[in-house]
Amino acid sequence: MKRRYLTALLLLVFTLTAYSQSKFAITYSVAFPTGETSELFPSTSWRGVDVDYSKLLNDNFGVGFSTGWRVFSDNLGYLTETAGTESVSGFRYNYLNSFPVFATGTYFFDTSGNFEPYASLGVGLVYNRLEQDVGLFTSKNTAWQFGLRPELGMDYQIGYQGVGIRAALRYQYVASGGDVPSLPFFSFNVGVVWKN
Amino acid sequence: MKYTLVKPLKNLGLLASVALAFLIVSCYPDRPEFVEEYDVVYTNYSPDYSFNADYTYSLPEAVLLLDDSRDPNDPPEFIDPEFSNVILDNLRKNLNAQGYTEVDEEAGPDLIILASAFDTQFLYVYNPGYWCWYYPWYCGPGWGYPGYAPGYVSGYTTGTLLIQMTAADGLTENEVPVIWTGTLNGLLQGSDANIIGRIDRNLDQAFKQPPFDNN
Repeated sequence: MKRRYLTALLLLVFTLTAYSQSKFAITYSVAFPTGETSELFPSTSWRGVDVDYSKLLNDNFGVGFSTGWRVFSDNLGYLTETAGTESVSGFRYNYLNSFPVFATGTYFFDTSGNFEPYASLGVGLVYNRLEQDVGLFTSKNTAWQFGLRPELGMDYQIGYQGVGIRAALRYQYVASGGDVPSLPFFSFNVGVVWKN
Repeated sequence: MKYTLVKPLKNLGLLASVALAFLIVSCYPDRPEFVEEYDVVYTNYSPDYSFNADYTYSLPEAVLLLDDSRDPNDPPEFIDPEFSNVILDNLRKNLNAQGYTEVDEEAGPDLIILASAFDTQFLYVYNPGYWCWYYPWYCGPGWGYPGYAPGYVSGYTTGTLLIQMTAADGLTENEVPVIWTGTLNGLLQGSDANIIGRIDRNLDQAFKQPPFDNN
């Protein structure tokens, strides 16, 4: 049994090292809230960055990880909220800092030219810190939530050493967890990708 | 001119640093800009009490200044009349709009409205003995909040105005029943005129919230 696991592990290591190419990307991201996110944050988020790494197992398929930082913020104006016999009025400010950690699988449809369109799926956890301020008072909730992120994108090689431009459309689904609701959003990413 | 290709990883590090620096300063963007935007109005009430009746009420002619370090037996201190007049006038306006009638405290009012102000730690549990100067029988050992529990707020740079509506007929040896609380909290910044305007607006807001709906 042990020998079988060892063989499988060696095969995996061999596969990962035999094909030594990898891709590293850093992208700026604009996000468009949807679902419960749009109730807390009606506005587009202009603050986001993602870092993606993909180890190519062959010409078309790679596995890796993706992480980043997304900030949603909104001034919702003067609101009155009532729960039971309690009512609170004040200017409401909401903030979300979101840090995804995804394991990714990426399929590159065509790697023969300068354009490399791809589809990717990320599965993992998202650390969300949701803060809702009324006046000087803050309600802060944090949670590690399950996340899923399908993605369609394209890499375009512009120079030597595998330097290129990446553009991608992503949908980040986050399941509700702890005291933090589901916080999905679409994002458009553009940035730099290196292939070596 | 000679160009040198920077190794991709060096490039990446630089880009990542710039991106992270950008985001670090953007962690909590769009904070409130004006002092008014920090004001909060909180109200809570006893669900066991009916507020839609023609009650009589009385109102002390001063707003008590509460200081946690003072003894309740010390002579009472009051806030500046410039502010207390606005508070008491506003309370009269809103209570009258509710259909309540002000009477002298000797006439046995149904409700007694007590206004106090803090500029430090907020205490719903402060000693009712502070009000002995107004009603000696308010020197009971504690406040009671029948059927509800008011929230707690605090802040070292803030001022708080606490309005307690008490039911005179429910007074016992052990408890002063507070049937409605209105709390205004905000930064003690701005001109006197600015603070007075904010107090006035926020008191009006308190009486727009349940169980009242003054507009």
